Amino acid sequence: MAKVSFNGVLKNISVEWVRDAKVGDYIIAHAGAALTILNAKEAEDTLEIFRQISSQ
Amino acid sequence: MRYSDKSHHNKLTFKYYVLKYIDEYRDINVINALANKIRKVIKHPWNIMEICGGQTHAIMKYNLSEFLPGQINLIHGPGCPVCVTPLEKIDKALALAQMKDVILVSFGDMLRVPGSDSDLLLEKSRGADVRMVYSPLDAVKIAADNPHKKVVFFAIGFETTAPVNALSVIRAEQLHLENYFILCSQVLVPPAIEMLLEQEGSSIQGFLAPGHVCAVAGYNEYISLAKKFNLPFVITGFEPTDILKGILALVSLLEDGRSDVVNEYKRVVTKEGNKDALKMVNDVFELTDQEWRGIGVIPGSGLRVREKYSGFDAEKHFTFEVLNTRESSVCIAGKILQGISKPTDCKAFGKECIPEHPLGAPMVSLEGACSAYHRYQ
Amino acid sequence: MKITCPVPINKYDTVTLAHGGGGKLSDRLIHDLFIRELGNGWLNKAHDGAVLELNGRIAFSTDSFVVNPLFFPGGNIGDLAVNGTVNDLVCCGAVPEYLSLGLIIEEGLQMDDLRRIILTIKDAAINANVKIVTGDTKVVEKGKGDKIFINTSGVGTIPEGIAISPERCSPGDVVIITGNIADHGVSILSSREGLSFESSIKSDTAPLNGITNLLFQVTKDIHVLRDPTRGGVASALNEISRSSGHGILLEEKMIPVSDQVKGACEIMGFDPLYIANEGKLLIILPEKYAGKVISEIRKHPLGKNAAIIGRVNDGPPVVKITTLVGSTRIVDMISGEQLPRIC
Repeated sequence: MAKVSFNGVLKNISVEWVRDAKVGDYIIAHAGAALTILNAKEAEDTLEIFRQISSQ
Repeated sequence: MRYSDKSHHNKLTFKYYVLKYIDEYRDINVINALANKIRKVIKHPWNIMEICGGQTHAIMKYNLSEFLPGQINLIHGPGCPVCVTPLEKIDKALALAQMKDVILVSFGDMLRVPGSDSDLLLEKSRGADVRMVYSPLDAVKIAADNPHKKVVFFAIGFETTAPVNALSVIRAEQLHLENYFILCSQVLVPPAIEMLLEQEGSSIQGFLAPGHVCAVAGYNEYISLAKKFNLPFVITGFEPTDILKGILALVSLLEDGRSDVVNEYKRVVTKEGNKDALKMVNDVFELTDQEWRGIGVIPGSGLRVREKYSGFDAEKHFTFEVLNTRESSVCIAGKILQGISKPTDCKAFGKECIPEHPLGAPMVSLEGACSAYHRYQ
Repeated sequence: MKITCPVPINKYDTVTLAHGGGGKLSDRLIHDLFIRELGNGWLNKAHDGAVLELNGRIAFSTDSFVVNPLFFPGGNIGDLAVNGTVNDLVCCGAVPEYLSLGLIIEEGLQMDDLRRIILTIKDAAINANVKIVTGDTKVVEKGKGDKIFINTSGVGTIPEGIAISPERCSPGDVVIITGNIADHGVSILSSREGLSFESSIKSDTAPLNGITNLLFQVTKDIHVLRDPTRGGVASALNEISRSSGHGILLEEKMIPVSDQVKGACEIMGFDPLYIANEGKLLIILPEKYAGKVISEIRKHPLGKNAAIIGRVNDGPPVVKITTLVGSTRIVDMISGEQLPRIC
């Protein structure tokens, strides 16, 4: 179990399936368990695509 | 590596795609830009279905249809696990709640779903010990804290929830609890999609696939479906930008006549999903035929507790009297869940059937199409 | 020979049926706890009722409090009991003056808890500048009440020139909220078993007469005042919209919500617009006063995050919101308690 912060609200979430997770990582949580670690690079790539789209 | 949630120096802090990763995904300029692109790309009318309660909710909350051209017919599929839980299971939950030594624990949504004669909230008001939790792990705690009671968790959900429902059984086993049970009503998305597409007169031409279901289970099965039925699938997230981007990708595929599977939720979903989570699901559960409320039995579309964990299976431990299950004769939930009808097609919608006194499940759950239509339109 | 009961009230660590019986133990409870802590000229008389002198238009309100748990982050049932009725009177445009206090106690309530609640009521009344002038106590058998239920009723006088009424809500008016929404409801949830989480979210329970004093110094031409308790801002505005026959359009990005409350709502699947507040005020008034009102209220400790969140229009009586992404949707009245989502 680990402490996960949701905007500053802390909840104990099971990290059974995200054993590679480190402090500072972003995760997707559902019903008390972390399902995946957010892929920060993909997140940034998506945001970059959005920036390009909105500037066209 | 061990995580300690008590000691400060070991405290790990994760963030649920917060602040940094939420606001940008709700950017009004991006939304408008994506909407413009969709308008530029689209040349024909298309029927597309989304099959995820969370996506239904987001589409309604942000009224995303305002941004879509009229040629897109966005159909809401049976993506709300509360709505598709079979009547018989709900009646079993009600029967369990009425038992004196049972604490019935459930996700909040299920409390007001109508069974044949009653609902869990009504039973609670009649004296049943019914409790709401955020996670089945909380239900395990209730069991540990109440050794003289039997605690039954109403374990519903799609692939997203199956892992944590399985984990609750494993935890109970580790704690040597003999008073924790689950009433299992787990459903799987791909068999439902198969059933919908095999139906005569199906008009669905493309799918937005559920992002978090795929985060767990991966999307290999959707690749098979795409090949079999020659339809495109786009794995889509939940933020308004994600949904519009998913629709843009789907419309582009449709206009090009392609039946590929495209992942538009790469920051969360990988093709193989979360292998560890799947392993635990396979350990605790096995495939079974499952009834979907309003739709009927879909072969291989559900999960049931394996024999080796039968000590935690409420349906093995408790005996139920013959249950007189009967649905409202007016409710057309089945047609709505399959995308054949819209809530506004229902005679009772907004009249006898409103959130205060619902006739069927889609009017109760915040992700149900009827409730969403009623609240937001 | 007169026999007096030698056992002091402190010997009992829980409330018993005898404490509500009207006999000596009752008398002890009333004098040693209630009158001692809350006492004033009226209460000390321990008479059947209080005789008051009030001039002008009188506002009269009642409210009952059944919150569970009794003690939550930021306060307890005692705070709600005083502030709730004070705020109801404030929403009539009145200066709250006198309160009654009715207690229905379940046998077995810890005396320490009762004392804590009474002391809280004492402090809250001083803070709100009201006096508790009459009261009643009953004790019911174990299982027939949920620890304690409290009813407070209150009266206050409405100054000249003030006419608050939902029907006065008019097209062109502006809607102001005095601060962050949903704090109270979320703080209650955070202490409920099965839903608990760690946060610094506290109930916002507070009396609002300080704010209205400032408000009326800017202008008396205020159309509607409402404290959005159960059902939240959405329900309050729906009621006002229906009473007045006019539409209201809100601006989602203007609605003040703390980050932590946003986080808790995301976890639970709640919408802050539907969650209870106990120390916030909705003010509907002509646009020309809005700027000055906002700047005055922001000077008050309870009004730091005051904001204009919408406008009244001449459309049909529906509440709508412009979402963060620019689309518009309806903000409906919700039925029953909000339930957390699962997916």
